[in-house]
Amino acid sequence: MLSRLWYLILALAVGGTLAGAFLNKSAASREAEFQLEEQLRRDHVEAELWQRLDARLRLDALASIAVDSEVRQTLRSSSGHAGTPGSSTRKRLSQKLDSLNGKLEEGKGDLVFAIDTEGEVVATLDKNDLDSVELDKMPLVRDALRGFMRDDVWVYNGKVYRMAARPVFDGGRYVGAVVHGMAIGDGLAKRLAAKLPNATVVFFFRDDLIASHVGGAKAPSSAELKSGLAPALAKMENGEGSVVVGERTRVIAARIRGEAADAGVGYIIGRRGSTVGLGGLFANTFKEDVASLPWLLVIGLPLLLLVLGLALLYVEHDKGVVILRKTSESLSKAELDSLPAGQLRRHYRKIAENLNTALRAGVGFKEGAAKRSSVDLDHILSSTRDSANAGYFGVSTEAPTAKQVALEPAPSSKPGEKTPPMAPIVSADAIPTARPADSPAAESRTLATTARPGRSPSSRPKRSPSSWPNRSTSSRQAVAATVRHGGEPVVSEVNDPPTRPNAIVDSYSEYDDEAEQSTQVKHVPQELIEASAPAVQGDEGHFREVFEKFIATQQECGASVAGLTFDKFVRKLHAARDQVMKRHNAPSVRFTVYVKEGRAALKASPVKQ
Amino acid sequence: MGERKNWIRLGAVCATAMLVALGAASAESIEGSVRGSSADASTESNQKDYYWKVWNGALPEQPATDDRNDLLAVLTGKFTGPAIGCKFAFRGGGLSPSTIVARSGTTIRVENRDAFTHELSVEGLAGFTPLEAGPGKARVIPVPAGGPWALGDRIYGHVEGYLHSMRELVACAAVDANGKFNFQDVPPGPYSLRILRGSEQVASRRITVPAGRTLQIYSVAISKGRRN
Repeated sequence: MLSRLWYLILALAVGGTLAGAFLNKSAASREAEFQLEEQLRRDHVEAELWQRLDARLRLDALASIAVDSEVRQTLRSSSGHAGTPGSSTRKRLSQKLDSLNGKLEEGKGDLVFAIDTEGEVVATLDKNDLDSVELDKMPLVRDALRGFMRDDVWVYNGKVYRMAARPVFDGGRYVGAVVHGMAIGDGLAKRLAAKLPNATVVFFFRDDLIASHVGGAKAPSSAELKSGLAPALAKMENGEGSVVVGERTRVIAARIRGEAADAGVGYIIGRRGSTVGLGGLFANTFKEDVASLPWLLVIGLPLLLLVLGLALLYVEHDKGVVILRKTSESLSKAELDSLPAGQLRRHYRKIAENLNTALRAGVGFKEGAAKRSSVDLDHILSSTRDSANAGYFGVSTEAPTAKQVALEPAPSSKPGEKTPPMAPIVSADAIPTARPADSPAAESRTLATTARPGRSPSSRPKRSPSSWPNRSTSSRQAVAATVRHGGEPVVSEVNDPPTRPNAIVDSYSEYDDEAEQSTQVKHVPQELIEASAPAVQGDEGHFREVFEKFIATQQECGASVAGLTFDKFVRKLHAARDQVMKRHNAPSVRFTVYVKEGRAALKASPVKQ
Repeated sequence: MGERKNWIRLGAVCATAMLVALGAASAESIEGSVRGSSADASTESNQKDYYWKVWNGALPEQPATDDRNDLLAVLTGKFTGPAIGCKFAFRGGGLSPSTIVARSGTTIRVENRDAFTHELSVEGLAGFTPLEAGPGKARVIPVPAGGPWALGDRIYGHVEGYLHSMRELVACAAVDANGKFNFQDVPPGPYSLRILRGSEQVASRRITVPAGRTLQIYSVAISKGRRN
């Protein structure tokens, strides 16, 4: 039961661990998602700041053009007059702008305008573009003409430019402005993405990607970002943050700051989130975390629980299994006759008891049982003892049970016929109580045969009337002789104790030796026995061993051995041996001692060699 | 003698008819100017240290004042021909002028003459859908009676203006940065000169355009009005 409880605890622990792991996984995924979202917010701020810094750098670079003397003088001469200067002047200024723009190197503009105070373009990079162009309505230009440095984003002739403009001073007054523009392309995206590791940056103009840079293998593709453009913009319009695109990609979108924002120009920053599986729970574990673990608790508690579980398993199961294994080995070697049910607990005890019962009943393989050579004396004498309740030395008056009839062959079985299964063995303790009342005839016969002075009939173990044919006292002696000598008639002497084939040694403690002595008519000399049974002369040594073992076993069981002598013991064995030899047509019989229900008992096994 | 008188009468009638015909077919011009509109707004910002004062917090940054781009001079009167000089366009990144007018029940054409793509919108004008008009394109706006309507640009937020609808519109003239305007090819006759700014009429004067010479109208005083 405790081990089962242990399994419950183990199952709960495993379930709890799994639940914790999955909860931790969910929490880790949520945390990773949150971190990714926060990262994108920081990316957005970083991108905004970087664009401002980039604009500032462009404005600073533009100063080299604004302070150029030719630029200033040309704009001064142009300002305050309707129309633009002559074409030669404009062409010369355009060449100058081209030259100055080339010196900006990295900040070289794709558009450069020199604008007079009326907002009219005096010169551009394209020296052949002599059409009059006005930009006076653009806030960037107007502010620059008023003395402000400004940056902006324009969609100019269908292309998107980052613009910067600064005023041109000459003679203490504003004489115009220089406007500088750089087209948004992959170069810009790359420069911005360099500030955002593992991120992909794309610039879009309406539905078209006009610049992109993928920041490495961990970054999402620009196509993924494009697919998330619409939801990201919708999210952006609602003032919310990033949006999930695809399976693990999150993007944040923003309109670009400037006039072109409403024209649909913006940028998207995308990052790929990391999948947090059960294995990923430890992805962010540091050595310090491992070192700070309470190892005594982490290792000690499971070990303690393991030992406790093993101990419970041993006590409840392993111990019983070991006992069963050892005793079964002894059983197979005929060192034991039954399993020690008393040493076992619960189910193992029940198993042992059931096996013991089966062993006694001879239940097993039918073929094997038929061929079995070792039988219990109870079974051997089943033909002489009708009921299992009858004592081994008693005479039962009951008829054989249906089971016995079914299991046992007819008494007149032919020689060599297979041995029927053993009859159930009944403890000797149960003999007096289980013994049925003797019939008056049998009782009178018993009393006549074993008349013992000073003893009530009930004090002596009753003999159940067996299936042994009713016979007179004299015939019993003849039968005994017949049994013992294999059909050779032996005349018993008067003092020879009655030979009772159905009353083999089982409980000597209950057997009154004096009473037995009193019923002994004449003792048969050992020499005569040996002479009459030459085939079994060598059995005396075996009998001695059996006797000694029986005495030892009886003493081990705490039973009394008072009054048990070797002679009486041998006489019983002789009787039993003869019975078995006759029945099984065996040349010899071997006896084994076993413990049956706490007391010593004997089992006879015919030897057919 | 009587016959001679008849010939004299006929000649006089013909001469009168020719004079009338010549007078009706002549197209005169009107030159004029306005005053008192933008000088007050640009005074401070015209200072050369305005930039530094604003940047150092000495002056608040003021919105860019209009250099009369939002002023429009119009003539109204009995004239059934097409409106004269009423052409409007995007120039330099915005509407020029930003106040436009059309005869009621007709259409007005707004051309895009700069390098920016504009998406003109007319607030509250049913049946007009804002559409993009790239460089060189134009939008035509049907103008019913009513108005004025606010104009905007869905792409460039700085673009703004007003559309007026006038039943007896004769001619239009933009006011330049110096406050001058000029009507060309105006038939002689009585008209009303109106100066529009944004959604308002800021000046009005009845004039008669004489035949054969240019009418000069100077210093039309305009009220400050409500800037939009």
